[in-house]
Amino acid sequence: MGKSTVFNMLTGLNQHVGNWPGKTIEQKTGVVNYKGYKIDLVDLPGTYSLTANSLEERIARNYLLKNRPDAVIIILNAATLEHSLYLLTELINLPIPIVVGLNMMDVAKQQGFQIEENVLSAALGDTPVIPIVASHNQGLNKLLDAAIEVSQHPNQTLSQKYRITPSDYPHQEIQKQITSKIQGKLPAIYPADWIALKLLEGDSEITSMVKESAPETWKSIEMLLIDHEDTFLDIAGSRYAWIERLVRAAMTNPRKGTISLTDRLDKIATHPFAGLLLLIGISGAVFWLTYTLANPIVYWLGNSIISPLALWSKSALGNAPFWLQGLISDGIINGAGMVLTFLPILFFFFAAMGFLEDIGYLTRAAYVMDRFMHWMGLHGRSFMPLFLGFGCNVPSIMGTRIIEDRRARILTIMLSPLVPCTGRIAVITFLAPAFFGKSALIAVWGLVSLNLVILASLGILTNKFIYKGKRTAFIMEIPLYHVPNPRTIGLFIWNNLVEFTKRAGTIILLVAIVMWWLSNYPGGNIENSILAQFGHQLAPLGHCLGWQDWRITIALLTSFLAKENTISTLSVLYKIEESGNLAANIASSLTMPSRLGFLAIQMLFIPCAATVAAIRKEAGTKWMVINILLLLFISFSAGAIIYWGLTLLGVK
Amino acid sequence: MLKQLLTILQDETIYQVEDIANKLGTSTAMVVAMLGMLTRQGYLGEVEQACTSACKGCALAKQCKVASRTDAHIWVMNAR
Repeated sequence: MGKSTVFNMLTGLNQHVGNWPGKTIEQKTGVVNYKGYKIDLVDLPGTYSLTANSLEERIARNYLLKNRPDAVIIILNAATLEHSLYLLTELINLPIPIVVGLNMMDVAKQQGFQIEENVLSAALGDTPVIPIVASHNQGLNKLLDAAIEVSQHPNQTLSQKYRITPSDYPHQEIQKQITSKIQGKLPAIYPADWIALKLLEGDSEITSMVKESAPETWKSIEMLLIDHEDTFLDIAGSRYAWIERLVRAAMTNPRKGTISLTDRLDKIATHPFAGLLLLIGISGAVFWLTYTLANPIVYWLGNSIISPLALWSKSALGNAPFWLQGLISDGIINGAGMVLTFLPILFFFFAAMGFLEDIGYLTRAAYVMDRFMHWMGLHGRSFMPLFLGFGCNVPSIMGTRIIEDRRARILTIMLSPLVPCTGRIAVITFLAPAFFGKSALIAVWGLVSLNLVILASLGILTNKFIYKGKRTAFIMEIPLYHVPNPRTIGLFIWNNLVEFTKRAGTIILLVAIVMWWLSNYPGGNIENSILAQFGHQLAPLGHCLGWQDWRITIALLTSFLAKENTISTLSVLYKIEESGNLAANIASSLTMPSRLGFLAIQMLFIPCAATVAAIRKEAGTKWMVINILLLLFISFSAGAIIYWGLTLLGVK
Repeated sequence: MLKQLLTILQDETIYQVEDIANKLGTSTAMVVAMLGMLTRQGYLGEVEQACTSACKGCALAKQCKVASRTDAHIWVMNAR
């Protein structure tokens, strides 16, 4: 609203900051010396109403009623007049002179609003309405002049002041009856009709006060209140009806009625069916762009930078001990370094997401998706946490704290790991071209869709058997489209790439080093290594899924620490001699059905350790174990069905 | 008007503020103001969008700002 700006502008350095007596809310008072007057100014806490919903509202109204200031300056935001007028509807009924400061007139004008302050003033019974721009110190002297004027003629001001009379409210008869019952029984500072109104509004503080101050009449008042439940809605509703009449009379928006570009675009973007098709199309385009633009660079980096660098380091370290040579060339450069070739994939992915976010499309996508999720019974508050999962599953799990209902929260936590994070998307985007050739894009899109279909199916089943169709209304305010800001998008890409690089330099590097050590000891031969022995133990599992090579199974398991480790581990295990084209070498050891099965498992597999830890923290050990078992079951079942289904169909 | 708004929201579906404004024959700003009032009274809850302390420890936390900077306001009906 600009209330504090006005206070600071008027008082300057003559301020005293403390706390309201007995409260932790900050109290600011100040002195204004103006035209020979010494004015004591008190900055009341910001409120939307004078009902005791919050400590701030209680402080503000008790100060007004107990201290009866000479004048109250209420600052309204001209750009959101409807939002600020409710407090005025309450203030106007108190026996205190009022001055209205209409702030942010410049913003209102920019937005195309024209406000007739004279009309507003007349509608308020000649209450002064002063247009101001507090941030530019415009109109503040006039505001002070008006405040001095009304404070010097309080009786005249109060007699002129418009009041929202009881006849404006429904239940006026009840209000009169309550008023007569409490008249003279409460402290004189409280007007009886105001107390009656607050009782009808269900104000907890006033209710307690009446119970204590007038216990003999409370029973009869209580009976009246019980017979008129929900009077709050009628009273507040009538205030809003008054606000609407006032705004219609005093404010015009010449642009109203014209169909904006946003309106035209939103006819498609937020349409239940067309919007979903558009979303599918745009997601497909994001993958296509990422795939088409990034993959040539990824391969160039792998073949022309990482592999030659690893070979060069091996020869440069020719006289160094075996462990140092292997660790640097195979473990660090070829392992963790290969993951850095993801950078182009992430660059284009984040550029596309940043662009969509910056123009305002993601909000529309959220709306369309939520309509879809609503249909499958997910709690309205589940959407945002699940949506966060496309970045990283950890904030997605943590974000479920906004869901109050525990069952809905647990369900959202259980579903969150099925949202493909960028780590998984980067892994499949890296491998898909070598695995599927020209069909890579369709395969990637299909794998992402598989995750979402499984997520939706689980949601529908849960809705059917646990929630039994229970839903809640969900309302969204969608902002206008914006012209994209290259700096914002650039910063977004930069921040994300820096974070990814840090990750590559820590957990991914560490795992690559450990994998190299386990694959080279004892003896320096991978086939006799500790890892190979472990890998051979797991071979039967891999064979069921068409993976004849134990290295695939090990790579999948290391994705538990970070999804990108699948690639760093494969880089280490496939050794430098083979890794001219890592993805192609891996592809050569798998049939087409087993490739697709492997990537499906990679997408559906238990989430990374950080996500599992987040699940334990937010839902407890029991749900963490259930989640791991559920995802193991889902991922391996999906992988087996894909592998055996395609194999039986004769796909090779 | 507030009661009419609550009656509309009993349908337990998903709305844009604009849909509700059209149904009530009022402006979107009026609807937003009334939604704010219903939120303060506990009829509705406003959904937090930005993850705050929850992001600590996530290496890709900044990425989630894609979703948290959407500027949209979201409300859901509370059970009463």
